[in-house]
Amino acid sequence: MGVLIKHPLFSLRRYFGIFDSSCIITVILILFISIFLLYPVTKVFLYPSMAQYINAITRPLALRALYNSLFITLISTISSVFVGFLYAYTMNYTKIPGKIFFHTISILPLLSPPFVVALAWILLFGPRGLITYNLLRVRWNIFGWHGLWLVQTVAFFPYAYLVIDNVLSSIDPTLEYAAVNLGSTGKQTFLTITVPLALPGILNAALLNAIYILADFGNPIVIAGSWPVLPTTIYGLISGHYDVYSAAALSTMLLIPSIILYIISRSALGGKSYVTVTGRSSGLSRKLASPATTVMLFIFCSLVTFIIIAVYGVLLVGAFTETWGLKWGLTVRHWSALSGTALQSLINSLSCAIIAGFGAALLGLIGAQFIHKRLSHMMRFWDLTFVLPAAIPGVFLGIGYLLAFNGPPIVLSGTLFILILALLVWNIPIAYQACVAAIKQIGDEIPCAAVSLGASPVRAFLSTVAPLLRGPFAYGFVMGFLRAITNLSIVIFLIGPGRNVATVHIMNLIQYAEIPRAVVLTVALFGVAIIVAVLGQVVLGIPLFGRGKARRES
Amino acid sequence: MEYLELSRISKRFGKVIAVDELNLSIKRGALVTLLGPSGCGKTTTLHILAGFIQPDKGEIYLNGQLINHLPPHHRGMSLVFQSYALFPHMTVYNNIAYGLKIRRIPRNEIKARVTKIMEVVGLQGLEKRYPHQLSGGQQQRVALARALVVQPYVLLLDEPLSNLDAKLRVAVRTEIRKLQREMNITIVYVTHDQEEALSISDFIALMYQGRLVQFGTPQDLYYAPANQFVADFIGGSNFISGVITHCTKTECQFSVGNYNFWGRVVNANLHFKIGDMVLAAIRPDHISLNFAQPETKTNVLEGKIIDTAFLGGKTRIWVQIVDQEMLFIVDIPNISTTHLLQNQKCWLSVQPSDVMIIEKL
Repeated sequence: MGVLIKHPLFSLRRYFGIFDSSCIITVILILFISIFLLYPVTKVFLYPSMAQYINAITRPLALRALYNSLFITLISTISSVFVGFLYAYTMNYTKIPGKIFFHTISILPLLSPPFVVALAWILLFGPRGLITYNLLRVRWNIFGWHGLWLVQTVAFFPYAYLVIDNVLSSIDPTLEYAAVNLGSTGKQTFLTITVPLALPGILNAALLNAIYILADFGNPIVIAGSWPVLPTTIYGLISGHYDVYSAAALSTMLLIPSIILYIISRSALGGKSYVTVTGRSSGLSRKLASPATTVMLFIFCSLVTFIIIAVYGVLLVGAFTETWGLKWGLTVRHWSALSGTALQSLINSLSCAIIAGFGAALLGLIGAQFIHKRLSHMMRFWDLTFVLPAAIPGVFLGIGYLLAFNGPPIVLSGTLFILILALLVWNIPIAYQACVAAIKQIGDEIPCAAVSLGASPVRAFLSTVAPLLRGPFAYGFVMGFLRAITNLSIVIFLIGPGRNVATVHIMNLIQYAEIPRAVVLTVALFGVAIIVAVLGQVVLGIPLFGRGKARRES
Repeated sequence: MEYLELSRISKRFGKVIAVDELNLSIKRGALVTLLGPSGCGKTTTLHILAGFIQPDKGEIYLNGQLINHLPPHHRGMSLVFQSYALFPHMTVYNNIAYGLKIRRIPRNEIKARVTKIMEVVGLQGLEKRYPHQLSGGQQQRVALARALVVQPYVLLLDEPLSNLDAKLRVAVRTEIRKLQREMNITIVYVTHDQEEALSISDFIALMYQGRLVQFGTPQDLYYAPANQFVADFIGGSNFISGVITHCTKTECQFSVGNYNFWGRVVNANLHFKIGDMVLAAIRPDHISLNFAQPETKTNVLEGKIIDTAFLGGKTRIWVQIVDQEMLFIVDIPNISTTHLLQNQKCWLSVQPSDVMIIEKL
């Protein structure tokens, strides 16, 4: 980007003679991040006194929640990564029919609000569940860590699947041929070559999943019942006891492991990738798993896919069923619930998510242009602030905004504006990292080549860099939108009277045992999310969830 | 039956015929090159030998035994990949020891054999390095050592020098040849570089479009090419076609327009009679350039210089032949005193033994 630094993109110097606009943009970005990220984060840190910290953390409930959180994070991470690995392995090392179908189904949990799997779980295994009540006539207590474990495994394995799929698909097949050529069997090759080569990717998937699961609020609030984890405990402290000091102290306890995991994933594993890009391909197609293994993997993936279909099928059927568990007649009467405050909350969700998604993509793009390139020590710090939100649990950010913008100097609480800003800041890293990767890929030479051929710096940027940033921008927008519209953990702290959003409304309905209406609103919200995702694919022409190109940018 | 026999091997990928009825006999301890332009089926043949690809038809015999059904890990044919395929997560030592560990050879024997082979290929002291910490030439040696240390029946090399720079390429190929002679290894060597093939091989199998075009020593292919493709691919040639006017068993006279030639029949199986159209090949370095008209008219062409290029050891000259639509390439040793001018008149003369009559048209 040397050229573009020397010739600032929108050089106001030409018009005003003094100011360099890239400098102004950088200052604006830094101000924005300081006010809407660093300020709320520090606010949470500094809110409780030392005594209040000690008091909050040493409480038995807090200790149990911390222990439970770490415990469930550990086992759900292991199980979700295990399922994700097998799923990805099947996609890369077998020739089974219906791969596109398997892939598409596995994407669904990424598009839906966090508690969807939990809600379906209640419809299947709850006190009036299809399987427990109607088929088996047993009374299981699905509320607790067992249920949460299963639900989180289903909800989070797709993240691991996408990361590991990417890693496996880029392993050079010749390495496996080389091993076989030197005398190793299929099993030995798997253990000595494939797994070690994929290990950095698997660990990275595990760390990212651990961050998601640690911060997961939607599933535990619906399914964990009286089994406390940190995010639900923090919420309970605020909604039940108005104990903001303890909530802030515990939020910090939640943030610390999350940041540690994030730092490990970025630093320790960042450079340790065995994915080699060699220009010449050997012309050998990937060595496939043995037929017996293939059959087992096929059965396994079918089972996982069946569970996901069951989850969404149950919700869809539930939305049109008279009384779940008792009267199975079809009806559309629940859909009358989609009016008044419920409808308003859906509209609020949609508009907030569109603005937040677009804003996050825009800031990520501009940030990648103006913050990332400046490699001074100071700028490295600001570079970090653009990726930091990825490591912040939603609950922490929610409380941060609650504390920071509830009083002077900036009062935003109770408005939709505070929701939009929080969701926007939270989603900046997606577009930022995608754009940074794209800019690195473009390199210095291509825009320089355009300039050497006589293009002005602006023209060079618009004709070489900009087209290549369209993809990451669109990716940042759609992913940011989806994460914003399905978010519960941040918005639950920030909604004001008459300013509800769909996810919070659904959660309230579940808590009042208004399951049919909750299901209807969930199906509607999910429908909106799918429509936008499909539009993103069709209109922007980017295979956001296809196997291949787009995922590499993430 | 020779040590390694390929009998009527065929392989198609969809509609593309990669290998077509290929027969090859390879002596024990010989270095045989599979040579040909890209897409000629040479790498596919190598992968069939290694067992990565099953042939549609045909048999492979090693030491008299049919090995078609043997899985790749039981074939004992080590392959050095074009990309080297070094395991990036293992040190140099562990890369080389990999095949021995898989064979569950005792630890101290592994150590002894790995140390020995590392000395042989000149990798001492690099045991603990990782592949990405090595230069291209060192990576190449690791790949070679890894393949050799398991003492394969046959060593397969897939364009092993293509990722090295020009100077290193010559050095390494000399080393490979030396190693092969010392250890008496049977090697099947794939390359598209005819110069490499000529310099390193005991035998060359020249392939084109999946078929074996000619099999023989480098000298056979150079001095007795089976057809126009071979004469052009190996060494390069000027081609002339003419009508036979006179014939003996080994030599023929033919005319090309106003020019007359005596040439050598390269293949004893070819028989010509007067009036046949024939194709003859003349190597650029077998032609001598004269600026005065030679006394004899036979085996002489008249022309003018179109262009010249200094190639270091020699100078290449393009000559337009008078009265014929022919452009000749002539390579002559550098003579500093000679100043070659464009459009300069010249005469090209060639010995009858250097006019290779290769085909009946």
